[in-house]
Amino acid sequence: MSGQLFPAEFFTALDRVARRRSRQVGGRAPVPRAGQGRAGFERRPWQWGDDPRRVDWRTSARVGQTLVRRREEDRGGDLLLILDNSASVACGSGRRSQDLRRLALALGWLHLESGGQLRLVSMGVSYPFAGPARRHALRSCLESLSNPNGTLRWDCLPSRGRVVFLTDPWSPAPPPTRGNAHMIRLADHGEEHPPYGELLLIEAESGRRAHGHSNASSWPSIWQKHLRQSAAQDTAQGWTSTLLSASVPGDPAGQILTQAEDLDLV
Amino acid sequence: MFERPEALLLLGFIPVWILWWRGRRPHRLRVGGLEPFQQTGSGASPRHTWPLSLGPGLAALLSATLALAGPRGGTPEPWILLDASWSHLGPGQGKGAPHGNFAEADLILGGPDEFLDGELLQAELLLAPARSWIVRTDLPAPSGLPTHIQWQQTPRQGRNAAILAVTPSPGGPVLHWLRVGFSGPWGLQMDDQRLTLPHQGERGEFRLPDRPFAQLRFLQADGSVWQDDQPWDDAWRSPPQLQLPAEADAAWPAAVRAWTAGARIQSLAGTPDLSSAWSLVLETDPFAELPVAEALAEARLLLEPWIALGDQPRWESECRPAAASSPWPVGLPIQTPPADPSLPRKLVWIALILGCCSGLLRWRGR
Repeated sequence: MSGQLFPAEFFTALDRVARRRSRQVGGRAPVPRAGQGRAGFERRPWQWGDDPRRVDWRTSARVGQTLVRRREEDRGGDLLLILDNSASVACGSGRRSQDLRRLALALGWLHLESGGQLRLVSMGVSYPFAGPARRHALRSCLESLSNPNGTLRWDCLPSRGRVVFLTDPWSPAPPPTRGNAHMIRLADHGEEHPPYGELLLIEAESGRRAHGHSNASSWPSIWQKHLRQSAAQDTAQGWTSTLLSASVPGDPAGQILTQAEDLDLV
Repeated sequence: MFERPEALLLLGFIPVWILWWRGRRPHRLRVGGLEPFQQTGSGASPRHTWPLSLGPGLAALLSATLALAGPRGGTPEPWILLDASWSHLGPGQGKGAPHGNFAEADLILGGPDEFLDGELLQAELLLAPARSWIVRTDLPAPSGLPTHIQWQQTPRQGRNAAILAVTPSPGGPVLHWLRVGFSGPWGLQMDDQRLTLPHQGERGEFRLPDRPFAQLRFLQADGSVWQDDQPWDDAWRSPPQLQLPAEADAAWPAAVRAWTAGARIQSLAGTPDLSSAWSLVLETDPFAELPVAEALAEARLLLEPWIALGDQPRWESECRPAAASSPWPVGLPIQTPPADPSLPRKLVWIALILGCCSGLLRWRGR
């Protein structure tokens, strides 16, 4: 993977998106608000009638006073981010893997900032995050993911909450799901404009080989047909399918955010 | 044929290129799936097909190689030099006449009343030695002619039996004849009357009957058949040279020119030139002695022989058989016309266009 995954210009773009979102929600800053949603980080002395399970024993032992964790408003809800990190993601120019992670961080960052809970699933491994303070943990997690490899796997999808599946145009749609399920597929420039002529095709995940041929006159229509078929299968499985184009080498890191912003994905 | 034939060695790259193409491995491409590519004819071995771009590519390489080699085949369009003298084109073919020969000629020499010889032609050709020429004339080609000069000789038709001249005389016109390369009987025809001329000797005079005649045709014998090769065997009089008294009336020149085209008028104030058999010396001026009308009639009577003979005069040399031209100047460097400089440029352009087509097809996967 070449270049910095999350350079400063990416966070500049992300900050711009966050500001726009905060303006759209009436200027509500992503700060914890008292509520009955989930255990927050603020603490208060124990009072009669407080549920003993809310006692923060470690802090109480440190300060010598029995403290309980205040409840915070649970505003963000649950978001399941499935990040495809299979070998097919790396096909093409290689920018798709970076853009998928950037998009994952943007979606997760904004969700955590709004107080939501996030579960990132990549190649069958689940990483839970909750609260704005975990945003940088999400970033570190995405940076530490291995290079795309292997075959796509996913766990059983939740029956409720929002699900976003970040993948390429090659992955099959996961099993049918209910609720708010969004499929975001990133096409790579190298796939839209492959080298024309005689090709020795190597399927990234299975290693199967075949001779092929592409030419400029027929490939665009074939590729568009393939994308339409993928979108139709996604829809048939209950997904809301969106197609984005991965940036090309030389594009700014925040370019994918601009695309997602235009399609109201972030 | 080529200025740099060693450049043709580049053609050896053509089979190398073909072999390379046949033996090269297809482009390896990692893809997420094979399905879309299977719709473009996947599975067929690419080594059994020829690409569409190969043809234009080979043609481009061939054109570029030929351009580098500098072909000499294309020489500039030759200039056409036309001999428009009487002996070549005949009467009534003056400059500007609607004749096909004039339309395509770049340089026209001579005319119906001009004599042209081989030396003059050579002088004109030497003025532009580095050109390709096509010379159309009835004159024979000089020996040692450079190869870039194409000499197209139109042989004179018929034989020149005699060089004839007719001069007025009080007893009737006198015909001066000259036999050139011809033997045997020959004769002439005045209107419908044929006269046999003496056939001894090479030169002589013959007095024509003193009566008006409308047409004088000269015939030559060819076996038993009298055949007229007119105008090839005819020589007409030189322009009449009329010498007038110094005090001659001003009406004379106009009258003479009206009656006989091309007449040269000389005043008797100078030294009379009596060397020409066509000279007429007037010692008295009818205009000075008679009324104008009578003077005109008298003058007309004096000039009647010329007027009756009529026709355009031409040079005696035109009537003689064409003599062999002098050889092309020895020692004069013969310059080969340069090759057409636009041909390699055209080949380069063709190579560029074909190369672009080939590249475009290659880029489009063909």
